[in-house]
Amino acid sequence: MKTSWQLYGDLIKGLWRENPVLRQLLGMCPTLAVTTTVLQGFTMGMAVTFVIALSGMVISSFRHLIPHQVRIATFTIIIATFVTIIDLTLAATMPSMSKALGPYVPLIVVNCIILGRMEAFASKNRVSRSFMDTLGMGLGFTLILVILGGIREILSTGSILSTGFFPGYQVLITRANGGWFEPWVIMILPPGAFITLGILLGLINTFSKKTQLNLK
Amino acid sequence: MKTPLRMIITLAVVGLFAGGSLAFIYQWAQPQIAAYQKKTLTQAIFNVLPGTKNYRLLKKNHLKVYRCEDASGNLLGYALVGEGGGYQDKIRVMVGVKPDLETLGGIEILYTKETPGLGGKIATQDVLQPSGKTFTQQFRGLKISPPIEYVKNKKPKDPNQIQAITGATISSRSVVKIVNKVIASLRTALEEKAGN
Repeated sequence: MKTSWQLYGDLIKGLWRENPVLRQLLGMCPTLAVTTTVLQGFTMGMAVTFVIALSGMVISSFRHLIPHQVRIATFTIIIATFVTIIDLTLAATMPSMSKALGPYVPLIVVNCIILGRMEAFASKNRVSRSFMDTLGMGLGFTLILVILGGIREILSTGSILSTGFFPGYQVLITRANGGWFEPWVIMILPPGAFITLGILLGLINTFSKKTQLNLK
Repeated sequence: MKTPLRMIITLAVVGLFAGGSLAFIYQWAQPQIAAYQKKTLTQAIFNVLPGTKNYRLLKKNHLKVYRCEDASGNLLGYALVGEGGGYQDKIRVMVGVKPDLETLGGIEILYTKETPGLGGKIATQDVLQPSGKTFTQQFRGLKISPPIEYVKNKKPKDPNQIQAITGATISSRSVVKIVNKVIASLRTALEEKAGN
């Protein structure tokens, strides 16, 4: 009973209490760069989840065999292998998405969330706990990317969930379609990512500060 | 076991496994990536010279020209890729020229990082006012001698003119410049070929 609670805790702490983006402020580069649409954010998040969970399992399984002095080099090779696998898979199966994400997929190698979890958790804990921890971190990262992508997509185009073939569901009717909403071009540009993330962080901090005060 | 030896062995084994699995994945992914690239190229050529069934690659002074034919082997024109600086990053354009070298079949933007909502309209389906066409549609059947020019905020009146995108003159001008450059190099290449 105790173990399953522990595993559950390892999984959900990444979603909120230790969320990699909102709490640890790690992995900011892809967070800001690829969140112009929900789908892009989701694909990026899933790619990171795949890499982090598999690397976590592999590194945790071999944690007693890896000499302390070369652990970072070993982690990097393992992470880079999984990243290249996902990069090639995306290019082969979802070429347009691979084109849209551009260099940010190969750059998952240097995503601090992944190396950070390997060093802080996977290299010190058993396989099941490491898998739950890294999975939670990956899903928490995906969650924030989807939220950011959603806000930016709605404000920059008026619709949501657009793909290459499908224009997306209209949420706010744009002026071009006879409504009132004038799309905010800034939201699709880099400043839009900074503004949205800043406001989101501010809101979350205010909210959690209030709950902490109430607890006292 | 001595630590340095253990370090070397660990890294070697991990590297070996990594290399092996990547070679395996690459074997599987490479044909699909190549097939997709060929499909995009064929699609782009078809868009700039509709009716193309076969194309053949001609090479002349590092210039790659696709000679396009319809189903019965008649020459439809030449398609080639041009590249040049835009507002943000380079722009790559597929240009289709009719056999008379006086008329454009059309153009297609293959690569652009221009500002979305402004310069990005060179590649989207946004209709420009007052010309009533999207940016790339304007190039269909455009006359190319004298070289293409652009006008701002009004309907083009000469057969070699297009309307620039409002707020994105630099991107529009870049495309016009790239297309004109590509046509010039195509003419030189074909003249040299005829001279030989």
